[in-house]
Amino acid sequence: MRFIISSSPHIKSEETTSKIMFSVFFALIPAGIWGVYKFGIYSLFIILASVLSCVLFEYISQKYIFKTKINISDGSAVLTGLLMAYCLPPSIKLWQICIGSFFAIILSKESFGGIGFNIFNPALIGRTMLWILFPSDMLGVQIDGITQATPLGLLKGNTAVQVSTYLNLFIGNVPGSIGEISKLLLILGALYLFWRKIISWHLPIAYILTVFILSVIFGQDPVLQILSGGLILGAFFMANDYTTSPVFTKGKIVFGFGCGLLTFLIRKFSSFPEGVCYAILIMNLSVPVLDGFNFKNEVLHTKINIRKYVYIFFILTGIYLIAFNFPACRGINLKKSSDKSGIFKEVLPVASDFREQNDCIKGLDENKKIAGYILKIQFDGYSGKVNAVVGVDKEFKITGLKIVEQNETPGLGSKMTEKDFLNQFLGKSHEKILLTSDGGEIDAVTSATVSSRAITDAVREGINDLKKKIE
Amino acid sequence: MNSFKGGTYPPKYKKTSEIAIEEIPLPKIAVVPLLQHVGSPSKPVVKAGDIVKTGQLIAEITGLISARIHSPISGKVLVIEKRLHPFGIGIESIIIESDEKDERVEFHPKDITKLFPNEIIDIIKNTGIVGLGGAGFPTHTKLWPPKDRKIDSVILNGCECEPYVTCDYRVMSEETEKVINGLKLMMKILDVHNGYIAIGIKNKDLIEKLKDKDIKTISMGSKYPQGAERQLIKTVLNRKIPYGKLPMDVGCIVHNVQTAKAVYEAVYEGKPLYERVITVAGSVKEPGNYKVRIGTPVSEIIDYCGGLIGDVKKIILGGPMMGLTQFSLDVPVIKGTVGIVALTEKENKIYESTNCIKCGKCINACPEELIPTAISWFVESGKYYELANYNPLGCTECGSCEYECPSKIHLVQNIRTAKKLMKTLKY
Repeated sequence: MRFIISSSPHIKSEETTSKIMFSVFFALIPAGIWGVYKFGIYSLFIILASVLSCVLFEYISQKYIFKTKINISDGSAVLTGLLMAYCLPPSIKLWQICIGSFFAIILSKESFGGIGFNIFNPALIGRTMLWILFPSDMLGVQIDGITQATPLGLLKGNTAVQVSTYLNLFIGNVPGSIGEISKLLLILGALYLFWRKIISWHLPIAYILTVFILSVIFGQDPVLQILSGGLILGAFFMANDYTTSPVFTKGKIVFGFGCGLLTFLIRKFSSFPEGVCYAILIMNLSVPVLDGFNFKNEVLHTKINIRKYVYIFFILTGIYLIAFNFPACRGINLKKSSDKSGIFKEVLPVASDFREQNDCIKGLDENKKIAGYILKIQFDGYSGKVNAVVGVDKEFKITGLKIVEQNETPGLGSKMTEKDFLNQFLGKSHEKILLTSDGGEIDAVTSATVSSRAITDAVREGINDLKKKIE
Repeated sequence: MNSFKGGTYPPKYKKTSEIAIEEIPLPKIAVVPLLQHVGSPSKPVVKAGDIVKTGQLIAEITGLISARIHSPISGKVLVIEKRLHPFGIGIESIIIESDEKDERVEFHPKDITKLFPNEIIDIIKNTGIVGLGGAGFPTHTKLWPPKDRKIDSVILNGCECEPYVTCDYRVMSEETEKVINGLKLMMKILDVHNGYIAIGIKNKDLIEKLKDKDIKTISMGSKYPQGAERQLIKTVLNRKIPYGKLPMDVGCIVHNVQTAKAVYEAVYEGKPLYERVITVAGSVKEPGNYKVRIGTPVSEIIDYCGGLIGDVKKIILGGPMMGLTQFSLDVPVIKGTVGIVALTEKENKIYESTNCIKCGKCINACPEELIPTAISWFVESGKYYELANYNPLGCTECGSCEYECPSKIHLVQNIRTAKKLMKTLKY
């Protein structure tokens, strides 16, 4: 009889790498089904293209480029593909996805030595490359939508709007990327992974809590901050990736804190509309320091003092905030139009002269009779206050709408100034100025529902006030 | 209750826990290795052709840490030669052919009340008792700590955290009196008043049975490696043993329950250590708990149990977490053998190891707070100079890390290599 000789232990747990990968895969499936239901069958093709191209690139790179052992069956490429598809908008083209997969698999993962050796989250690298290469196709929807805009309706304490907004965000009745919209299903998937003891709660909770607290401190709506964009998907499924996050609990908490901080800073201050993706990628770099060791690539043994690391974080944040609040440091102000009457003429073409009287600007025609009114409105845009000028005729129908000053990012905010959106307002009386989802006639900018609602509400309320004042 | 850091939860497979101890017939030929303990090998005091009786001294102590060996059967010494040992190497062994009479030497019990502690220790030394939990450290050395160590507690270890193994549990249930009195003897020798019995399988009847006014019985959790000395002391007394220190440095001594029983039999009955209780489990026809003579070949025990069933791939002496695999059934049972486990391919899946995915499961499972994956990586990549920063010598080889590893990396094997490298290269 022949027996096997081996080193102890002779029994091993049933858990394997591929089982873990496929468990995460299954935990993500419900959110994907919801995405396909919301955005149509094309998003299913996006998911399939992403998964298949990732697996294909992994196979090609392992067989022909790096000539290592082929282990596509471990499921890591499948998971990378799924996660990448989940943070892509339904407007992306299938061939573009293949380019993203190339960067995700070959450059970000296999060239570092394959599974376990990559320093960046491959799915996010793929997504970032797509964002850089095809911004117009990616602009359709973002991983991080519309978070900053605080709708006027909410500020005025209209709780009915508030609850339905939260509920829609939570269930996923909003535009967004394919897999990130249904927070409910994502959280259910994460709970399954907790139960399977595959992920720990420290990192995602630290992440979400940091965003929550910072939102409260800086006067943002914390629940809206957490439920919008890709925060839930990022916190539970991307930041918490094994290879690219610290192994010790302390390190995980600091990592989560750093991700939360960067997400918030990017969302609030930077010109990028999304925070989650870049926050996680930047924090990926801190993993060797947070672990105190990096045995895979270069040798580094520092008995890192976590508390010092946190202090450094706070100091850097302070510098960042101060710098941003110096006017000279804020760059993006669009040119101010000095010729005000030119703008007035643009929004109220029938008038030839304008006169300011009792807080309201009247437009007079050639016969010096009142032809209409000019209305200045201000509302919270994506990253700061936005000023707009509205022209209405005698019947209070809108003759023109122009954004005069904004800090908006080239992404979302500027979409709001596009003619397609603003032209919808023309000729409408103020009762009808409501988003279609709220029963009106204005179609929201995709992925910027809250901003769209803000401007719509501002226009409607402004005209309402004006009407009362005149009458 | 206190607990130790790390650990894991392997399945228990303790189906044999309610099967009573059964005595196995005498072996026809007993193979008694001269090394059955930690320390220097014993020196034979018999030669080929001698007639020996059961319990007769056949090998004497050499050096400071060593133990006597007694004949397990009566009969004729055939030869003294190198034979296969459970460690997988050839070791000088005394081969005794049985005359099937089992004639015993006369045992001389002494009046315990008149004995001084050092006289009791002499009896233990003369009867060749070593730790029966696996490692086999000579018991008399353990019971005679240096003067500057103040011992205040004795713990009897009945945890048996290894899957399959149930022999200690059976000994506690069936020979409760002997175990308790053995513990009391140890407490008397060391002049301590805190005696603990730690039991692994939760059983109310057993706890009731073990109740004694001088002894505390503690029921342990099911975490592995609960029965490891350092983890047991942390759980029972909440004392942490620093790296490189021994239990006596924190004022505590741990013995196996079977050792306590052997001490009792040695002192009250004058019986030397020539038999022990082992568990035979896994893919054998009649698994159970058996009292066997030291030196009985594994093949005879398995034959008595009805033979192997199915396609057995691994024979393990000890438990499946820390036991040693055997390539032959000719190896004998030695003093430290706690069980024989036969595993088929189904119970013992062989996985190919893949890259570490940095899940951190091994770090969370390590009871000694090491970073197993880092040590393993430095061994695999040849960066031996790094090893000293990760303290591989602190590893107790419990196997929790490798049990948990989803990438199925051979962590324990690599750490053993690291330990050897540390010792030979002196980094």
